[in-house]
Amino acid sequence: MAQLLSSATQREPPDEDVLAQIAQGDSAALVTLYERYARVVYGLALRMLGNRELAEDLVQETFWRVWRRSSTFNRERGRVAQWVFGIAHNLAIDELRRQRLRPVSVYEDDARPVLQALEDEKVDVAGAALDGERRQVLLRALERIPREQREVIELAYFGGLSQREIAERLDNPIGTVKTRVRLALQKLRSVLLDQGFQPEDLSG
Amino acid sequence: MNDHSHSTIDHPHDLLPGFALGALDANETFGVAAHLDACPGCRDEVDSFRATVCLLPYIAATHEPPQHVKQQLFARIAALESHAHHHAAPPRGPAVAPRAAAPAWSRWAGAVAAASLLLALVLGMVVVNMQSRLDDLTAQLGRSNQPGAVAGAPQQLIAFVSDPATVTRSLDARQNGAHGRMFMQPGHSRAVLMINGLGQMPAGQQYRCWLAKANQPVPVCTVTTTTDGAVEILFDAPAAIDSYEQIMVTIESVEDSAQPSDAVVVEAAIS
Repeated sequence: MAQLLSSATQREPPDEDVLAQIAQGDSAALVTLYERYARVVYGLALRMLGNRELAEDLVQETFWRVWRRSSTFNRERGRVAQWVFGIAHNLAIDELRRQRLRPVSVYEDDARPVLQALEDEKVDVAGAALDGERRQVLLRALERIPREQREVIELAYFGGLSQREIAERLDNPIGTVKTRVRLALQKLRSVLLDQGFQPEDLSG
Repeated sequence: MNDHSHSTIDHPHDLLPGFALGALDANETFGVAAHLDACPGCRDEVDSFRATVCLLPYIAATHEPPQHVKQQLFARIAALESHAHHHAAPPRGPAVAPRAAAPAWSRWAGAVAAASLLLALVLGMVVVNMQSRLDDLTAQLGRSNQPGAVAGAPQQLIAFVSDPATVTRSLDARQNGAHGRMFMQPGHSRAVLMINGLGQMPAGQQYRCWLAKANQPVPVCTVTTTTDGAVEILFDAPAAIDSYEQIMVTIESVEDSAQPSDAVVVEAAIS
């Protein structure tokens, strides 16, 4: 089970080597990285933004920034996937906050069923299957953390809300929200380790 | 900077998980980021949380993006590389083109009129920075949600600055050494910023340009300086430039932050 989540570290060539090639101007290496992570980035963008066009823009912008900033990656400070997802997540948060400043209906309909209309463009069937299994592992891990902790993770990470905004929305003290965020991440880490995840797979 | 300024936070343990999640406001993020630069213990704690956070994207169901996304991405890269190759630009990366040789400046250096001198300054800066700036401008303005990309930016910059209808605003320095001007036309959305004296940003920090109206910040673009701290930006605001109250350049520690930090470098009242 741990292998599902750590498979990125077993890829050949390693992500760090691929990124080093990208930093040398090798666009074929960017294709490799794109094919490894674009699915995840797109899924994250759809989940957070609820709009296909915005999600597509976000995928393109994420990997454009990977291309432009590949030389700035410091392999001592984290994994390549972490860096790529961080770029995507920040772009999504920025879009969500921009929408809150100037509310515009960007959803495809009121109920946001954007996923129903998605065409399945599976190119890497094995990769998509692995992603699905990986997702199940994480969902089972999430079920083992308390509901109120899951809630703050959902609002913070997928909803793009700050801890202050979460406190206002839930009418909870800010200290309570901060504590729940800490406990949620600690509990999730603990559960994943219990499920056979190796500590080095969770290391930055 | 509010009470959570980086100068008053010893070890912001209560903010570190939120920082890893991207769930702090701009002031808090700036403060924590500044603290992490000097505190390996807190950095290790953040890295520990980040290792878990980086798994969260897998919770969302993955979907293959449409093929046109990949095609557009690599077409964009190919266009950038083609332009750089055609104009013999310096290698991609942090390196910046050196100052142009004298002839580009000297064509205009003999002019005595103030407008010609200004144009010489503009032209000299543009020629010096044209190649590295063109792709930076393209990158900065390439996002669909940013003010519209301006094709042929250097040529249009020159034309805009020298237009008789263009007026200027002096940018007040909030950081030692920085100074600049904004060029605008009332009733129109286009504007030019020209700034000198910006220090080089350390890794993880960036300059960002903002407009403000009714206390609402509008991000314009990320600002990248040359090695001598110069910047020129040509951009189109979402609305007429004089409908905004203020323009500013700040230092941000968060990529694509939606709220400007309190670290203002230059600013000016517009209306």
